[in-house]
Amino acid sequence: MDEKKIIIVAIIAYLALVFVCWDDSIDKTRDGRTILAFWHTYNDLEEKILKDVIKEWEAQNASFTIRPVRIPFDGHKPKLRTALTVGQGPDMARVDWSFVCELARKNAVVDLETFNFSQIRGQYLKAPLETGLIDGKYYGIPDQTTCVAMFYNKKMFVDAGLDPMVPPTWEKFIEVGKKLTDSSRGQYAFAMSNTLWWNLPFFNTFGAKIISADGKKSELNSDKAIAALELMASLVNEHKIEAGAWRPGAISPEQGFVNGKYAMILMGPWNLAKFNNTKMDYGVGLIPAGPAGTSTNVGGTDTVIFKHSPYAKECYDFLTFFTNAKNQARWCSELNQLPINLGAYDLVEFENEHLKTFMEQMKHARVNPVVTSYGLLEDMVNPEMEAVLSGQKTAKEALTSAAAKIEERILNQ
Amino acid sequence: MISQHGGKMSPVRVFIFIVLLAALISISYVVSGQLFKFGGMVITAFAASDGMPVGDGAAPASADVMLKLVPVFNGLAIILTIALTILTVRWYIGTKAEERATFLKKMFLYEALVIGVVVVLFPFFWMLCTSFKPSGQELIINKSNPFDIVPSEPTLQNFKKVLKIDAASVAMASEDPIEQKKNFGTYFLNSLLVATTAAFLVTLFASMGAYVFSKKELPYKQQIFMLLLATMMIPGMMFMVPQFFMICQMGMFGTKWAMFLPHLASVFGIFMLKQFMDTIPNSLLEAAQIDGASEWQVFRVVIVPLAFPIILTLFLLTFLFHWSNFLWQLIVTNFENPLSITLPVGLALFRGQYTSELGLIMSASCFSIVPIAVLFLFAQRYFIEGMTQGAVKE
Repeated sequence: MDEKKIIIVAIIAYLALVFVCWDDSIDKTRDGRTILAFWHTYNDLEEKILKDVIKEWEAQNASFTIRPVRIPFDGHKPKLRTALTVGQGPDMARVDWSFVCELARKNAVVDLETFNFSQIRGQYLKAPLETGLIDGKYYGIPDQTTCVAMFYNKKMFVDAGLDPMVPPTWEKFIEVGKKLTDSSRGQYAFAMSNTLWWNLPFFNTFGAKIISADGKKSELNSDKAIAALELMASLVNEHKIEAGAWRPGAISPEQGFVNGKYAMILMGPWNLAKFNNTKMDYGVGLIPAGPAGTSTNVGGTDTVIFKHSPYAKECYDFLTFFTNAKNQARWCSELNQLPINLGAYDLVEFENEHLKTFMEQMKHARVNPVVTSYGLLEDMVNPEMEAVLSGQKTAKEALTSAAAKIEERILNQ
Repeated sequence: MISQHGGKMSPVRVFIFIVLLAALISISYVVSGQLFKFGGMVITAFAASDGMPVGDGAAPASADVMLKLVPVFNGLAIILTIALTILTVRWYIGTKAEERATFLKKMFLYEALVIGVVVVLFPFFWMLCTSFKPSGQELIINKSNPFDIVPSEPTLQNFKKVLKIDAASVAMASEDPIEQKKNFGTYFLNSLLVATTAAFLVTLFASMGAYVFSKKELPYKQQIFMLLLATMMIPGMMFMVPQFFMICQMGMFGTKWAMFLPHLASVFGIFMLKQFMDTIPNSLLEAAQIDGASEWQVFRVVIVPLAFPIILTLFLLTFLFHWSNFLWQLIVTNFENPLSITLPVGLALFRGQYTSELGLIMSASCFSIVPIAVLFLFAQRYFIEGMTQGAVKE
């Protein structure tokens, strides 16, 4: 076939495509009910249960219908920002926990106290709930939470002649770590990432805070925080039991763990199903205790109601229904996720032992730093942490400089 | 030893030949072994998913078959390698002594090129392999042979999930007609339509604009052109919100027009085409005009055919840009309507807050590179010509 023919065929195919596929109108059900748009970022399995819950809620609220709209998690922030700017936003949305603060300070979301949130707020786990606490008011209802715990490779422990369990304290952790490490074979006791969120467990086990309670100062230069970072640096430099997985281009903790290179990593429950498929023998334990006991970070999402919605009350009604103990219990047992509703803790029966460990770990979680721009906070802290891990700065120098930058560029803006 | 042609049998040359032969053997064994295994793996994956209940149960069956087939793959690779080695050695012996240096140079060149090809194609091979791996196995490295990246428990689950023909999706889709349209096929066709239309319109407008700036007289032409170029200095992100606002005001939110309308005026395209059109001699245009060609005819008969390589290059670049333009398409997508979701945005739906389904992303990527690969294969001659011609202007 010569080129002319190819071009003609291509043009005909294109025109056919235009005729068949250009029209993007879609039939919508019009039954007179008011539509509440709920932008979420759930996956297929989660969306299925969400739709069931919506059906139950609609049975009690006949004049409303909720339209769940799935948007990609990766783009949910720019999507919401631009949509809100031109008034195209939804009635309610599920957003990353760190995004609530920006939305609240930009006056986009409803203060939940309007609906007497204080009456039912006690039913939620404290750490996830407080991610929605901005300037003394609650703006987000937690709908999903995660935290990290210590995963360990049982075989590597047994091979080193050790009991397969996570050491209870950081001192024991170092002791055990030395036995597990064999750098000549590329085998290390521990591997960590270099981002603030992943390393919050270190700061939290030392009881260190990143931002002060009133949100005006950074407490990153406190003695506790310095001690936490010194511990991290000692794992790398002094005791040499960390694999250097935080370095750019290194084998990531997850990949090293599934390939039997790293004996222990911090990881969240979202990878349990994946790790089960690898057929490796692993366990999950509480993060070793520091001076402030065991602790962890908080991840997950909150749901918010937008100010422009004329049906904020109904949205609130749905979101609290969605996160009540019964629905949370169902959600979590079917999806193997951690409940955010304390009532659901008693209703959920996990077969998975690891999830029970996560539930226990979650109880010790401490509140994350809540700032307008969490991404910027990471950008301020991460290079300083890396400088300490690679031995270019002392923990005190780095954290003092990080705290000053945070106050200047984030808190006093 | 003196050969019959009088040339010496150089030990250095023999040594180089042996080294090159060793390299040839190892490359051939590793590459052909992987390729044979990949072929067997694909067949096994299809065979195992047939007649099996759709679910995780398919994995062990395919793993069994793969395990039994390992000697076959290795055997085939060894046979091929031995055949290749014998052939090369006979070839070398058959070569006249004075031509052996050239032979070795050629052999080295071919081996280097093969290594280059392997390096370039490796990411694509990895993509293909990963798309057949069950969830959780994507990151596992084979302990006995780190070069072995072909899955030993192949599954078609990823492809089925992406195309929404697995059991769970089918059940979900039967309840909801909108849900049926939320599949990769829809996103793919949407993107194809958006990218092709945008690329066609951009090339049309840019070539007409470039013709005017290059060949026509108009007052303040240079200044206007400079002004246009100056807009290239402003990052496109700055326009995003105003453009989005305008699109919404025009009632185009969530339509295919919204996906590319603000990008139709391509200053870069005008600049690139103008640079090329400057090199077309004016005498050609004058000749056409003397023959009675109208303005449109001059453009169509003289300019477009002469500038065709560069126009095609612009077409390809624009197509690529719109094929992978995530942020803008995300902003103007109406997620309530799957008919407005394009491929880059649809692919992002596979990533969660902390997890990425690598297998799903890779199997979707297998489909998404097809149009680009086809376009490049068809137009690469023009493309390379156009890239170099646009780059330098004497």
